[in-house]
Order: sequence, then structure tokens, then C-alpha cells
Amino acid sequence: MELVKQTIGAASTYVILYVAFAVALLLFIRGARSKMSVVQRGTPEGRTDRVRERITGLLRYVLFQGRLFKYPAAGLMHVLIFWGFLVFALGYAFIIFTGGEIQGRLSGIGGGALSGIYGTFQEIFGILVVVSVIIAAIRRHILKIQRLEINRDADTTLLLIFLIMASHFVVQALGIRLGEKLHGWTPLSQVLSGTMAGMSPAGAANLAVVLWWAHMFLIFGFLVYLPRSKHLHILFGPFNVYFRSLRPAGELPLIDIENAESFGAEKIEDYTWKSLFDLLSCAECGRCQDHCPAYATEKPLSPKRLLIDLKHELFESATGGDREADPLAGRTIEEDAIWACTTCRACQEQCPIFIEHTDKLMELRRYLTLMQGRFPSEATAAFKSLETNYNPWPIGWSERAAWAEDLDLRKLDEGEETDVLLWIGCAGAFDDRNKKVARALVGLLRKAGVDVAFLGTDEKCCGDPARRLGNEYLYQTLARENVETLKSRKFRRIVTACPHCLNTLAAEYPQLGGEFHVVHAMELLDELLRTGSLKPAGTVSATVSFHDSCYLGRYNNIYDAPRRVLDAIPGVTLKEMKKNRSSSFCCGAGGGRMWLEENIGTRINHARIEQAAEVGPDIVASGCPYCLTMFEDGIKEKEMSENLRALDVIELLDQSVGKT
Amino acid sequence: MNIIVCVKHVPDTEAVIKPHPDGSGIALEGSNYVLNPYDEYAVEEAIRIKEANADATITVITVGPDDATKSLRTAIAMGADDAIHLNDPAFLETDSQGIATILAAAIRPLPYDLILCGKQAVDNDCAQVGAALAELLGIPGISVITELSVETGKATAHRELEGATEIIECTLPALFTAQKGLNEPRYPALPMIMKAKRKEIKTLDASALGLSPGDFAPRSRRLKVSSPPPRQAGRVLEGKVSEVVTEVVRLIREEAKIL
Ligand code: SF4
Ligand code: SF4
Repeated sequence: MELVKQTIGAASTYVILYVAFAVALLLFIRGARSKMSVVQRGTPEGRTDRVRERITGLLRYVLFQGRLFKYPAAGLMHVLIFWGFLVFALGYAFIIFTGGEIQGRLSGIGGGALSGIYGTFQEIFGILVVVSVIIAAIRRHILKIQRLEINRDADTTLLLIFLIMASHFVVQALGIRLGEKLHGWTPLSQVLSGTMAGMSPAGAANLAVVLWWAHMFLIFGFLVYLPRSKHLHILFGPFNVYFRSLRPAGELPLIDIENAESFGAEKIEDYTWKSLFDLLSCAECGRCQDHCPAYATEKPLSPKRLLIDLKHELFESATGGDREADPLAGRTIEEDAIWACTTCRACQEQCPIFIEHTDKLMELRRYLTLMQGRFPSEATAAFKSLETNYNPWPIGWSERAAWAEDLDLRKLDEGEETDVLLWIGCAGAFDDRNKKVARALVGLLRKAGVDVAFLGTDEKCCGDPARRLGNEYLYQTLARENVETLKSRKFRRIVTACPHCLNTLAAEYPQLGGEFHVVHAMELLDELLRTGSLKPAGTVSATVSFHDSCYLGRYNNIYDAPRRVLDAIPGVTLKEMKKNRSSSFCCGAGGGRMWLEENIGTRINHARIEQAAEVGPDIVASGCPYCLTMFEDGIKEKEMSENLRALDVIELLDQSVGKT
Repeated sequence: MNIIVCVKHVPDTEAVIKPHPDGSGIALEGSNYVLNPYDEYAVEEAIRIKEANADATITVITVGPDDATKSLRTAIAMGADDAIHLNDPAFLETDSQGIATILAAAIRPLPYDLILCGKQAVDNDCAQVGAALAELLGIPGISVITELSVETGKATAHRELEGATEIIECTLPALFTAQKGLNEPRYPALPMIMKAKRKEIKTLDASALGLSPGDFAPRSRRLKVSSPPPRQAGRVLEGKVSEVVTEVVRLIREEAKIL
């Protein structure tokens, strides 16, 4: 910069610099504001609470790029480009705000140590950025990584970054050639300058000046380009992290049925502003799609496409036209895609910037179900049975307690008290296979001396199937009745073997005034083992793979308890599947899919069973009635019954405890 | 076009049915009541006709106790315009013929082109009200239809028979009873459910209909209700194929007495 000032004079240097910067800034602000105005078409939603938590998130997920490392190689590349960007941004900030280059400004501090450190950092990150950009280009165009699609804006961004870096290094090298002393360790600049030995000093000086300006204009150009590109994540990503949802993972937004006039998302403006903000923030990295069980089994759903298609709709609808007539569902997003989602949350767990895919799909389902009464026909039977018999199976409600008829299990009536209230759930009460699990659980709790009772026929479906199939009205009807029932009984905590019940009771009933202490059976059994109330003495020789159910793991963060329970059983060897814990692959039954036919593509439960078979366990264990059903069916259909069995962890523990 | 749909509020089909020990009737304490499934087809068909004829109105009528309004509201949520509840303690003691008489009294003063009923109610399974009502009103009654098309002044209906389809044409007004397969009843949209909740339902008792108890007195009487004999567990036959086959043939002859 000193050279530039010498050549054209300090005054004209500053004039050009600041005028160019002002213009760039103005264009940047205009661009960003026009994007924001698009977002403002959404409905209101509060996302400014819990500031500390939000800022911590910024540090963790933006500064330290916490989620990107789920893909180590790509994560490293991204983090280098990002940190390189920060280091350079600091340098530009110095030029703009102090009128001079950062090394010069810092050189007075600490005997030049600070500027040396900066110079070294700048050099290293500069090199790493160049390398990362080249690798990124190779991944996109030569390796053609499937989750990344060719995207002109992404390419332009990469090219701009590359040119900015290239001009930076050449200017540095020319400086050395002209006898300037760089701060810190600058190997690449040194090597480059070596190639310029033959250049005349005057020529080198001229080139340096031109390239310095070119460099600065590229930076300003980048600033102008950013809000205009479709690759907005650089700009919006950090804000998206800041405004991320801090609600419980499994809590769908509550609809005020009495006062709302329309339900769900018919038009793009029916989404909240944050939902629209998501659309602009998406980096199209495809991580979500990579983990989507629906996508993996050839359903017409990709969470990434969902975002892209809604984004296009957002911009196109902003330009007007007679588009309003048709709803999003069926036009922008295929109905089969809307119903294909298992709400497994794998996409959201992976997304580096916390985009919320499932709520977008749920709002479309709500529109279809509540406004149009349109859903896969199989759901009708489940809805009607839920309405009249309070369970999704077509079984009379008065049969709900039949599974426990000979168990002498205490029914907790109004006003009565117990320590543990066992919430059976529809599967445990009505499905023959899962009745066995419920009975095993009762047996274990009794052996441990736990004071336990259940609601008998007063229990109703928690409402999860209805809610996840978009039928908020039916959900609220069931949920409110359950909340009333629960409030009229006294208990210390509720225990359930069903992660869907767990999620609904713990994360969703508070919306309706039902605040209860709810734990999953795995947690209670883990506790009883720890305190010594349960002693698994009998050996169960088996290699077991534990399948993390979506609503147990990703939704409610229960990963270790079931593994500890399995570990406590003598003879059991745990063998993890490749996709485990937060990267677990859905069984296919969540999101109400349990009640729908799966007639597109291959079956999700088959895919998961094959993943289990890969590591060769004798038993695939889970802590969810839906998973158990899906696996039993999958094993039968794939004719693998000789080598593989599906069990609930409760049953395995019961085998061991029962043997004493 | 004026369409009338007659419906019944019945115990849900999954309800556990237990006769009273004295055989006097059925204990229904544990059951929830719903719109009779066959009547749902009738309501749905009426709505489809209305969707094709802008000027059509649909009135649903039921004879039943107080909470039968629930089924009327279900029909309104599906898309019916009006509902009439024929409610009188005296109505509860009658038989199919009596119900038809009550319905006829309510329908006579109304304008109608088309009357739709379910082919039967799933509680008593008598399948008589539709036919009796057509008779009382003196209009054609076509039962158990699986397809219906309506034109001005006439209608064509399909009836599914054993191994054949019968196509019948008749003049309007006429009465049809709906069989499964006629259509796929819709699930009501939420705004319609909310509207149906607030809808006023007209209630008429015997005197409002100009009926005296003698007009609808039952002419048949239930003597006893009992459970069918419990089903025996299935039997698995093992052994050589030829032996098993011989045994099966013997069982069919001697025990099932089919051959
Ligand atoms: S939604 Fe998130 S994970 Fe999916 S493509 Fe966009 S940024 Fe990547
Ligand atoms: S929740 Fe699961 S099934 Fe639904 S889009 Fe996300 S990854 Fe796919």
C-alpha cells in the first residue's frame, strides 16, 4: 500500500479506496436488504430469547465450525477457508478503518512480534485457502461428490476467493522483489518472488500497484456479489446459527385451533420468517440429503431439494404473477415427498447451520390434512380409530388394559398416588409383540421393588401419530384429555418404553399445560442397575447391535443409558453399526409412517436391517416399539430369521435378571 | 336439487359387544358412537352430487337420542348443509318399520329429489329402513348401490350382485341405499369441523311431526340376544401329505359337514 501511495499519491489513493468501498458497501447493503425483505414476508416468530446460549452457539458452530467436522475432510477444508477468511478480513478492516496495512500498524507493538504473528498466520491461511479452494473445485468437478451439485454461484465464489488469494501472493512476492521486508514467516511469497528475479524494478513496481488495486477491487466486488449470489450461506449462515431453534427438538409448533383461520403452509408466506431465512442460508452442501433415509431408499424426498425448491418458489412468488392459486403442496413440493418423511431428524442433526427441515414438511402436512382432508388413504383408518378408540390400531378402547389382565397391575384412579406411573403406549397395549415388552418391563420394575401403577383404560394415545401426520386437531383432542387425566393423579414420574410417547409427553404436553417428569424405561433401568436394585446375574451370550431410535437419540439425547444397560448384562457383546448414535438410520416408522404403506422405492426397514447384518450381530436391539415391529418385519421379509433376531433391550435385561 | 340423507348414530364397529346376561339386549357401556359407516357413503355421495350441481342442498336426518347430534355434525363437517334431529324418548322403543314411519313424517313436508341411506346400520343390521321409507313415500327404492349418476328427472344406479352387475334406471324422486364401494368417504377438513360445531340443528319430537305413539309402535319384538358359540382354536395337521389330505377330507365331511 505504501508503494501505491508513493506512485499515485496518498490523497488519491485514499479517495479511490474510500469511494470504491463506499459504493461497494452501499450495493452490499441494498442487496442484503432486498433479500431481507423477501424473508420479511414470513409470519412472526420469536427467536431472540436466550441471548447467551445463542452467542455460545455462534462461537461453537460458526467460529469453531462445530458441526462441519461430522465430515472430517470437508470440515477441515471449510474451516481453513473460513478462518483464512477471518484472518484476511481483519487485514482489510485495518486498511479501511486505520488507512494502513495491518502489519505496519501492529509493528510498533511488542517489538514487531504481533505483526510477525499476523504475517505468519496470513501466509499460512492464505496457502491453506488456496489449497482448499483447489480441492473444493476438484471435489465438485472431477470427483463429482454426489451430495454436491454443480452450482454456478458456488463456482463463482470459489473462483473469486482464488483470485483474491492469487493476487495477494503475487503482490507480496513483488514486494519482496522490490526489497520490502515482510513480517513473519512467508515461505510461499518468498518462493514466488524468487521466480521474479528477472523482472525490472520499475516493471515490478507497476505490476504491484495494478495488482494491489485489482486485489482490493476483487474484495469490494466480492462484497457486492455476496448478497446477490444464490450462495448466501456465507452471509446468512452465521445468523441462521444465531437464530437457531432452542425449543425442545421434538416440539412441533402449537396451533391455536380456536382462533386460527387457516392451518399449515398453503403459500410460502405462511412459513415463519425464520423458516424463510433457512431457505436463504442453505449452503446446498447436501449433508442432510446424505443422511435422509427417504432419499436413500428412492423416495421422491430430499431435504436439500426441499430447501432449494422452496427457495426458488420464494423468489419467484416475490415477482408476482398468478401463482397464488395453487398451494405449495403438490406444486412446489410433491405430495409423495411430503408424506415420505419419517421425521427422523437426521437432516437437522447434520446441517452445519441448523436448518429446520422437518417443521417445513410438517406445515405442508398440516395444510393437506387440516385444510384439504387429503392424505394417504391408509391414514383414514388410523385417524378414525384414534377418534373413537384412542389408538391407531382398529381395536376397541375397552381392550386397552387386556394385556395386563393377569398381572394384577395396579390401576391408578383419580386422586390416587404412585411413585412410578407406567405409561404403556398404544403399542405396548395393543400390539401382541410389544405386549411382551410391556410385561417384561412390569416384571423388572417389580423385581426392583418399584412402586408402579398404570392408567388402564384411562390412558389414550399420546397423539404422536396424529400430530406427525398433520392432524393437529386430533392430536390436541387426545393430548388435552391425557393432560387432564395425568393432572388428576399423583406420581413422582412417568416411565414409558416408547420414545414417541416419551417425546410427546415430555416435550409437547407442556404446550398444553402438562408439565410432568417423564423418563424412558432405559433411563430408569439404567438407574436401577446402578443402585443395585436390579441384578442381571444370568448370562445371555449374544452379540448385540443397538439401534438408536430417532425419538430416543436425536430427539431426546438418550444414547448412553441403553448401552449401559446392555453392558450390564453378562455375556452380551456390543457391536456398533456403522451408522450409530446421532448418525443412526431410521427404521422407517416415525412421523406416522408406521400407519402408511411404503410403496415407493425400497423399504427403509430393509435398508436398516442390512446395515445391521453388515456387522454380524445375533440380535438387533432397540428401545422403541415401532423399531421392534419394523425390524421383525424386515428380518422376516429378508428371510434372515436364522441369524438375526430383533428384541427390545428390556427383554434382554429381563432374560438376564429372570435367570437368577 | 334437494338431497336428503338419512343417517344413524351407531356403536363403533370395534366396540366390544357383550349381550346382557339375561339376553334382553346388548351392553354397550364401553362403546363410542359414530356415524354409521354405510351412511357415510350416502353422505359422501350426496356431497359429490352437490359438487357437480351448484344449486343442490343436502339435509341430513336422524332418529336418535340426544347425542346423535354428534353424527349429524360429522355429516355437516363432511359437507351437508342442514340437519334435522328427530328426538323423542318414545322413538327409542320402536323397530325398523317405526323408524321409517317417523322419517317419512319428517320428510313428507320437505322438497326432495333424492333420498340416500346407508344400506343398513351396523348395529342391528336389519337393512329395512331404506326400503320401508321408499314404500311409505311411494317412490322408487333401489337398494345396495355401488354407483349412481343423476340427471334431470332420472337416475341410474349400479347394484353389485353375486357375479353380476345390475344397472337400474328410475325416475326421481327416488331413494337409494349405499353399499361399500360407492365411494371413498372424505375426512372432514378442520374449518368444516369448526363450522359444524357451531351449526344449529333443528330438533323435532313426535308431536312436532304430528305423530301419536300408535303411529310408530313396534310391530316386532326382540325376544333374546345371545353370543355366538365361541370359535374353536384352529387345528394343525401334521404327517405325510397323503395322510393329511385324507384327514382333511374326512374332517370336511364328518365335522364341518360341507361335502
Ligand atoms: S440444509 Fe443444511 S445440510 Fe442441507 S444442504 Fe442446506 S446447508 Fe447443507
Ligand atoms: S427428517 Fe429424516 S426422513 Fe425427513 S427429510 Fe429429514 S432426513 Fe429425510
